[in-house]
Amino acid sequence: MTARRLETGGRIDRSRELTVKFDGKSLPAHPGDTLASALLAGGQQMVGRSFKYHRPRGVVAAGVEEPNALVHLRSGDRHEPNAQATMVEAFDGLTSTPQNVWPSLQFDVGAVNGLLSRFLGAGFYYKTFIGPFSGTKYWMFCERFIRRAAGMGRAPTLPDPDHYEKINAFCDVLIVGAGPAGISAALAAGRKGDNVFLVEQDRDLGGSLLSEPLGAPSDAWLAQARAELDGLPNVRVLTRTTAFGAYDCEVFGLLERVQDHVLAPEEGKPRQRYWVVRAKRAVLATGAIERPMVFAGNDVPGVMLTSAVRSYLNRYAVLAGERIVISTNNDSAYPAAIEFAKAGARVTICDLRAEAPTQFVDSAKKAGIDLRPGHAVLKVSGGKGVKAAHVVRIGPGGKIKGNATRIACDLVTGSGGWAPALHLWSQRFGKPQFNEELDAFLPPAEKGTFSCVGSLIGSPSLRDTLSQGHEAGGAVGKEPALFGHADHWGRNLVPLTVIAKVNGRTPGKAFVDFQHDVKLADIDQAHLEGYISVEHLKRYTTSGMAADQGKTSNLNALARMAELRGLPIPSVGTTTFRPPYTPVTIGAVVGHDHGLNFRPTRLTTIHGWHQDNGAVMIETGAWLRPWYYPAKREDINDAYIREAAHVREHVGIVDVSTLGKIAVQGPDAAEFLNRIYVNGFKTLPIGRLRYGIMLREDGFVFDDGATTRLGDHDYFMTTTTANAANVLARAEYLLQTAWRNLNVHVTSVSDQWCAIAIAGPKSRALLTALTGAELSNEALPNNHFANVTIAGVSCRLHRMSFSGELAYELYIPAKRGRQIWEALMAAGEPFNLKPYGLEAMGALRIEKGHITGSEIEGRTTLKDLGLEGFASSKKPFIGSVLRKRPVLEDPARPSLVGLEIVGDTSTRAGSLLYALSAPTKGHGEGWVSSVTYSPALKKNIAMALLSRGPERHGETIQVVDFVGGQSWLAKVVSHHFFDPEGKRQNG
Amino acid sequence: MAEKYQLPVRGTTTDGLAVTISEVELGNLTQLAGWESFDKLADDVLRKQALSLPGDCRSSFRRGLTTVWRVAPDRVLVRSDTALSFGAVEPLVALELSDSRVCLRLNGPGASSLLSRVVALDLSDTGFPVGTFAQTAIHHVSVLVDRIGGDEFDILIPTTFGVSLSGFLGEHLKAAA
Repeated sequence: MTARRLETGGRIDRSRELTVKFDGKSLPAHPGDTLASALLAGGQQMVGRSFKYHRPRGVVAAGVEEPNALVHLRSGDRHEPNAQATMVEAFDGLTSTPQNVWPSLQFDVGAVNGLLSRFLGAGFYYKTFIGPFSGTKYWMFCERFIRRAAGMGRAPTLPDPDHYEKINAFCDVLIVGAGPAGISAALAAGRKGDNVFLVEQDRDLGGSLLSEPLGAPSDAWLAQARAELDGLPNVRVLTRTTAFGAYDCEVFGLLERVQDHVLAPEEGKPRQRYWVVRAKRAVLATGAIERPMVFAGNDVPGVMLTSAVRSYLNRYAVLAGERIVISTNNDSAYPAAIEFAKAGARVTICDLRAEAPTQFVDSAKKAGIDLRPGHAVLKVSGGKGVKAAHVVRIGPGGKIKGNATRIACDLVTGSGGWAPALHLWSQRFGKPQFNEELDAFLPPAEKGTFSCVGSLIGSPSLRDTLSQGHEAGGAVGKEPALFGHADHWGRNLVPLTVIAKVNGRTPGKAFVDFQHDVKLADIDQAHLEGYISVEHLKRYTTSGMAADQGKTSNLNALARMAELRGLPIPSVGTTTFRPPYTPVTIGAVVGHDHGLNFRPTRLTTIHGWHQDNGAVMIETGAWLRPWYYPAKREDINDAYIREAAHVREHVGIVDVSTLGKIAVQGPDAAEFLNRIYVNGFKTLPIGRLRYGIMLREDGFVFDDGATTRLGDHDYFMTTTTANAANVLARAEYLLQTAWRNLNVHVTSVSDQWCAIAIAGPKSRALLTALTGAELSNEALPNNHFANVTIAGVSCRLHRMSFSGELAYELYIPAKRGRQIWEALMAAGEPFNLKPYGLEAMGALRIEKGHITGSEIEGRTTLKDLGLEGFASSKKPFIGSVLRKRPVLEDPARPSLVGLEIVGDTSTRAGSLLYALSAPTKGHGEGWVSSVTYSPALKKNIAMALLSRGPERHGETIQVVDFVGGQSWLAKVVSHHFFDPEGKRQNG
Repeated sequence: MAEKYQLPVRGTTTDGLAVTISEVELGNLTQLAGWESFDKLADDVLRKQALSLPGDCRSSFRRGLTTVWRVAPDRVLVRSDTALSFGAVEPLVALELSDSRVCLRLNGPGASSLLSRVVALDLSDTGFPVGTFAQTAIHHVSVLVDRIGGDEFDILIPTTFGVSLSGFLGEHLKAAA
């Protein structure tokens, strides 16, 4: 292949020169070039090695269907793998390197795989690595070598320095593809006044018209159309933008490559923009992709698609070969061949049809083309470049006749018909219909709010294409008219793309899927092994599963399968099309949702104080909470033990604003609470609060918390931090479905109220001093609340304890949270008030034996947790029936106990429990749910679920942490470790 | 969590349009909810304050600095600069929510442009006319977006997400700056 840049022609800016680099070699280019056109113009025939066999590969196509010319772009933190050279715009300073080569493109050690190809066919991994040895060790050993030998580009490892953004848009009509049909549709829709999005993956509008010779009549029409579109403010034209996905309700995903065509994005510009477009209707004008011919050696560098060679000639002024042999089964190769010949190439057309199309014969002969009707290319010889085509006669039924004739050449092109780019349509609607005349799957012209136009539906001529677009756009204004171009490819097409010997085999490797190195023989082998479904065939051979998603391979693979099964193609069917049409960068999918913005964060209104006072924060769900407040040189253990001990001795405060809070209002609120909690709430007086437990319908514990009665029809419910949203959602669900007769509203007030717990023997004295309220045990007993005023702010003081100490929870209008916290800290100074964090709060509640999410983890029942006494027998409640299932009543179920760990080290949550003399195998008899060092007891303790736990108090058991590889002995005790009588909290 | 931004933040979107993000006083926020005959009962209560019930969940009623949003078929939110005394509203229920939301204001020619990057709403003049509102999500957080001018939106955000979402919005401008 001796490609060269022509002196004239092309849609490149010859006034400016650029330099691009490939594999360290500098290549001249011009604005308007792609990397692929620059490579061809620079005589770079081989651009990479193939996926499996490391065979030399060159450029095949000129667009998005390119399967071979995948390269690494740029370097360092902007390194990008698997870029299609045909889609990369040339710019000054562009650097690229070949993929899947070692040590070099010219000499690649992996090419030895080609010698072993007999053993590397379809199903190689399954057959070779599963079975000979038990277990997975052998596979794990081999995998590292396989992964090194096979594969695409090298993934980047450095943080991406660029940014990406997402954007939402709405329009009346989305037109995908700005070829003649799409432009025609956009003009009509724009004139009509519709809000139009016209999307084109290329940098320029025009589609197939850009591959017409410079100066063709379409040039003037394109310029005029572009000017008119620019003048329509209701038409938005997005170039360098691919519509990669079509989803329900006319939602489309687009990827705009905003700054990929420059060395580095301009300041303030995203590299790429991810559009989510919601359209009232869509016009698909996505064109068609030429189908390769399948023959031996069809992957040798220098075998290309005929249409691609035409694009390189007319758009980039690159003649890809001097001596060209074309293998075709349809008319579309002829105009291209004539142009190749006029550009100076010697051309032979091998048309497997018995006769050449009469309308092209004269002009072809006049151009000096060697016409060989009834012939096809059987084989291409050459290693790193085409040396010759071996041409045979084709007899009736597509069988070859006689011996092959060798034609020396440097370029072989294939033209096996066209495959409409129906991916978006199919993503949305599923299976298309097969058109036998065109030997292709086609979408219907209209379905739902989708219109399909142009080559996508096999439009018979350019004139028809323009007319279809005009109609789909709304038929407003003058219908565009363009003549003089070649008519449709489908006329008299012979549906034969595989050229093989009489025995059905090819005289050498013939590839169906270039990107995944799937040979024709692999399809045959899969068939022999019993694969009849195309979906199974695809997965077994991996045909169509590479980054190009089989744009050039799918039809040939399933045609072969149909032939082998003796069925028509429609009976074999197609595989399922799924987004994305072309690869989408992870950066674009992520947009700004990374790093600190990976997910939203909730901060209590006291957060600033915690930060200012040295708290170490911890993530709990979306919240950031103070974990502990270290004094000098304290680690977490020192700090939480000190904080917990301080609460028991003096008084401490902790920010508990993260508790879920729900306003329950309405005349039926009490009935609602009675149904949702296991315990009774109908008799709860105003001014009091009650601890309650909720079950799921299946009888397992769902959540717990306290609910306060504020007024006749007004309750204030608290939930655990983790389940706040779930409880609200469940309540809404029940009120809107099963309990629609209840007049109740539930509203989240989690953000309305800041909450602070004040715990410790001095808490009453502190609050009395601060509020001036009467807080004696008589005036405010446990489970009551009082309205108080602090620093002029009306607050609610609930008497309740999570720590087991004399304790209160103070509910404050959220925006005054920090002010009240600071007022407490100031007033608490004489009482030695200290803040404590989540870790100390956990230690205190474990000492007291209170449960949290560690115990309410979806597998535990009331009985398991020792809370069965809460369940009312006088009323139904959610879960009241299914909690009585025999399996949940089994006395052997793990039940809540306390553990005193023998020794000085703490066990770990999740450790398994075994009887003292039992072997430590299997799931054990239970597990540890929560652990802490107890400053009050001065020992390591834990809460655990142990089979028949309450019967085993006093027993010594084994505690095994299989993850950490440690074990302990522990004594089973009551989980009420500290003040089991509740004297302190009720005092 | 998102970087903390000192509001107001001024910047441009990637298409070069200027926008300012600032926090404004929310004032008072009260919810009225009910059941049967909600339309009539709520309208009666609102009319005592010289307000009225909006007909749907996109349009609002405004009088001076007071706005009524119908946030559900049987719920309205009333934002006012001074505390409104609804008195006895039975059989409706009232709920004080002034501390539950903070209000961010997007202002400037880039307001719609910035918002289009974080919400899936049609922000065109016809899709989202001035005086209408929408309940949607920004970065997975439920918010109420109120269009108070051609280039001006108020966004009511749950108080505890205020810092995070203002940082998220600011990040879009920082990247473009």
